[in-house]
Amino acid sequence: MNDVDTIVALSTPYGHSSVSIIRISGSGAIDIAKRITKTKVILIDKKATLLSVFVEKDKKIDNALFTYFKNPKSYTGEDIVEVSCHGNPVISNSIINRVCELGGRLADPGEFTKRAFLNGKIDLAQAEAIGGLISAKSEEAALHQMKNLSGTVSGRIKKIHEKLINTLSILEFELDISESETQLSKNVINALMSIKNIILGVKDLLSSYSLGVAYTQGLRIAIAGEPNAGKSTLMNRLVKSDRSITSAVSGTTRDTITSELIIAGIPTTLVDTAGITETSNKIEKEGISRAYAEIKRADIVISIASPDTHPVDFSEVKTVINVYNKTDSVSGVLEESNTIYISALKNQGLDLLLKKIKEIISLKKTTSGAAINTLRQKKALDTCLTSLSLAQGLLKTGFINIELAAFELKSAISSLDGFLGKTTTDDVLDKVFSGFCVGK
Amino acid sequence: MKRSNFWDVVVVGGGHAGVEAALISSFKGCTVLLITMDIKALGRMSCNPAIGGLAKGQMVREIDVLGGKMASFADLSGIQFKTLNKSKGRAVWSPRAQVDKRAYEKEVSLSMENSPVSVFKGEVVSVSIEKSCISGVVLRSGEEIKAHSVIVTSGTFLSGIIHIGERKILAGRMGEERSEGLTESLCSLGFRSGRLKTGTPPRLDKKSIDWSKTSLELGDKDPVPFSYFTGDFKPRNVPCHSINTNVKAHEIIQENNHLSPMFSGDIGGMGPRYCPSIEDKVHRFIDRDSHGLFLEPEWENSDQIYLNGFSTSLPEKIQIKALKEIPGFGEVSFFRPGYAIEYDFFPPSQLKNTLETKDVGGLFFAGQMNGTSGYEEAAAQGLISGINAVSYVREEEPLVLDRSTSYIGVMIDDLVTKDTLEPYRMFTSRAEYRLMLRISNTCDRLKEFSSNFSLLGETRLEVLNQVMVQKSLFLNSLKTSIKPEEVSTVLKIKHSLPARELIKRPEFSISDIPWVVSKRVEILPLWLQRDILFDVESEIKYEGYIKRHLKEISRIKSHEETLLPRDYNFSSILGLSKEAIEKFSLVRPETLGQASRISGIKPSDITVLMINLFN
Repeated sequence: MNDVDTIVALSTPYGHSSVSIIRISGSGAIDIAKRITKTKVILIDKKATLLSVFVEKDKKIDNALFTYFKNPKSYTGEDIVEVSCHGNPVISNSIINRVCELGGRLADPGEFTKRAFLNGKIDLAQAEAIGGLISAKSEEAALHQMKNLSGTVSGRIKKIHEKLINTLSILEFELDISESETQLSKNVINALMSIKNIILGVKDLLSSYSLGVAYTQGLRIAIAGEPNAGKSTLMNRLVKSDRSITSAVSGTTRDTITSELIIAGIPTTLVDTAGITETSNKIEKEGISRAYAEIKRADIVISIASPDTHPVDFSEVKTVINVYNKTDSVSGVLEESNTIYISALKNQGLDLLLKKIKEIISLKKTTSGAAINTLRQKKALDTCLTSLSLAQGLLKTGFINIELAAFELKSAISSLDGFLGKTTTDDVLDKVFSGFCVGK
Repeated sequence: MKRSNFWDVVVVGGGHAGVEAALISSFKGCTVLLITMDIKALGRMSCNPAIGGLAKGQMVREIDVLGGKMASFADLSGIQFKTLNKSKGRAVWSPRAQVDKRAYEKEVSLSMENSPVSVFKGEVVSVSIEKSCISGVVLRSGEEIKAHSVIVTSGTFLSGIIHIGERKILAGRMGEERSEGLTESLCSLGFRSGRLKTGTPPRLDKKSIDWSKTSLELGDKDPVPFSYFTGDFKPRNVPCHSINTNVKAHEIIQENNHLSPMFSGDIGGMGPRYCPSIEDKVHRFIDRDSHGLFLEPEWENSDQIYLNGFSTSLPEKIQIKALKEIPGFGEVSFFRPGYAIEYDFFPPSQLKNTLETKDVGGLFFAGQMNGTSGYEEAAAQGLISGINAVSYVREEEPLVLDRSTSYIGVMIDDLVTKDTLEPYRMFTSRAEYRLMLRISNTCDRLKEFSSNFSLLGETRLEVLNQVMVQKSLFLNSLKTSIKPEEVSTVLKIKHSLPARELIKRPEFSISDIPWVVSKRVEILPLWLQRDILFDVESEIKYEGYIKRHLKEISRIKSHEETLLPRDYNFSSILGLSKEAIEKFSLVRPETLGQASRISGIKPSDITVLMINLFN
């Protein structure tokens, strides 16, 4: 088998289901499988093995079945490892992400089939059928893209792309046309300003990812606070059932408890967490560390306080809604404008809380305009951002290097080519000729 | 002179392409006849008196390693040398020389006289074909000359029309006859032709200029030559001068731009956007009150001054009137006005990447007739067409340079893939692997080809061997660790580390390693030792970037190596988009890699093509 790069993709439909299958194909498949499971277990051809899967910072995310198909007797003719994990987009996305970190890359549409053909795994008739299929798919994709061009994700990416070409043209003018240094420092400053501006745009679009994902995968809201602030009562009220056990005893909830509901059309997972406090109790400690993990993972945190408890400061973590509970038990509370006052027990003020959640969602919608919602888009923008920061560094230091900055800008541009088609050197030169006074 | 009636190679045209084509094919042992309309004009520099410059300088040294002569000619006739882009990045350093045009022509003539190439004055009006292969050329006189292969390098001469205001002159260059009939002959064989346009500025009388109003422009103090085979180098440093246009001059140009045939629509051909006329610059950048102009001597001590930056086709009296507004030009007079010239070219997608035409075996096109501009671009094509004409005659493997090896490779691939709409000039940004195509590693990149294709004599090849010896000597010495006390106190390091690692840091240079400089191959000239040292430093500092380039190159390698069948019927492919069928059928790509670079082709088109290809 030739040394081919390793590709990964979800091979079952996207969304919640009992099982999702992630397919990894290429020379590095086995190595990646070993590293993502942190085992020395040797996978046996055509046998399934149950292993733990670890993602960022060695956090275990799932137990999954690993099935190995040794080359050439596999679908693509290369080494394939299929990972059957629990059918939750969060889990499958984390695994795919980790595979990419370990040296894989997202497969292009139809790439597994293409490899199967090139490695002689499928015959002429099948190949012709696929030829038709791929082109049909690309036509469809093209149509889809045309639709998207009016002001949504593609439109915004297109704008970023345009700005990138403009910026690159400033540097290429210096490298290819200008024979002097008279405009050099001015142009470096222009390029830097423009890069800074593009970085903001990319970051803004990236920040819409959580919202985009919210639409397809749902939103996660964690309820957090000190023990006995009334977290579980609030949870039960919001989901309108006795999901969590409630009592006056502080620290009743030891583990995280989740429940599903729909807010503003978005499927939402509500998470009740253990109360945060200083404790020497081992079980309670574990509960608290899980609570922090949930807080980190959540899109919105409801920070809850009451007459008997203090608010916990989560402001650095996520979008936070401050809630003051148990207004029924005291009188004459001095209301602060950034806090919502409720009584979960008496079902008071919950409409205000829901309104606030809806506001946050729609606020995200309007600032971003468009939301990116696939891992592919996010990865492309992440790559773009990395290149842009490097370019910025190369123009800022005492060792300004125009040609390396141009190299990074080209990388940034090509990371977007997947959406917009290949950018040719002519596109850049056209910009140079139209924007600058060239010729001696 | 009695001529043989059968030649291995016939070269039509004696410009920069023709001369390189003739010299290399004769060096390789073929019998060569060069036919030109003017024997005195061999290697003539029609426009600016300079060789090299951004991206072009790199190409000149590539020509040098591949057995071409332009680099040596320029080193011998240069009167001022300067390396451009020194502060902008080490891979884009480009040498440029102001050249004494007369001395240059003399060097070319001498070289031709000392070679076995036969030169004949005549005008080729048609080509003869037998069984879709070339069999010879026919002259205006009716005489037919038989040849195994023919290289056409007709420059701007095919149906050339000079424009000065409303005046039109049928000519190939000012004062030189144009060529007629060859275009029609080629078109009757099925070739497509088009029109392009280019321009040249006026030539001023040195004595009519007030030089006190101009600024001095000098070359480098430690100049670097183009050629690896130029030994110790101490060229002259003859100054050029610069001056600026002003608002008054712009007003005159603006008021009269309707008289310029480019504005009036009299010229159909597309001109080069990178070399705009002064009327175009003034019109498009209306806010600028000044444009820079350079005064360049056409030869040492010449009375004739080339006014770089003032290319124009305005009427002569308007040119003078506008210039007279500029302080220093109050009394200016011309040897010759600026003018535009229109000529026939043949869209180069009709060529293979060897520069042989796709439809007529043994017929090659090179130079400006392929839609390029510039002496360097022409010379490079002439050289490659000459090498490949010999391969054709001997039925050997042709020389094809891919995009990762050289600017020449980038240019030819662009030409045969893109069907250029304006005169094509080389730019460093056209090369996707720019950081690897440094002038200082030209030897590393191309030496293999010059030995495999026997393009250099033994002495020259030995120089290139020594260059590689010098390079590895430097590189090996950097494996040694360097101790803190060996580094200058200003820079300071804490621990010992391999010298190579130290150089990777931006604040360190290779000259901070005390022992490197002593590892010298003494027989190489000093400038070349320095050049190699600099390249070693570049290679180390850019290691990470070069690795990224290499990764990309290996990723697309299989595409580059996958040949498409000749006369492949693209319209029969199931699932290929209509646009892709049209583009593939026009360009007829030779490899999958070339197919993927055609503008507007999508990755899915390539996948479909691949799938059909392997059945």
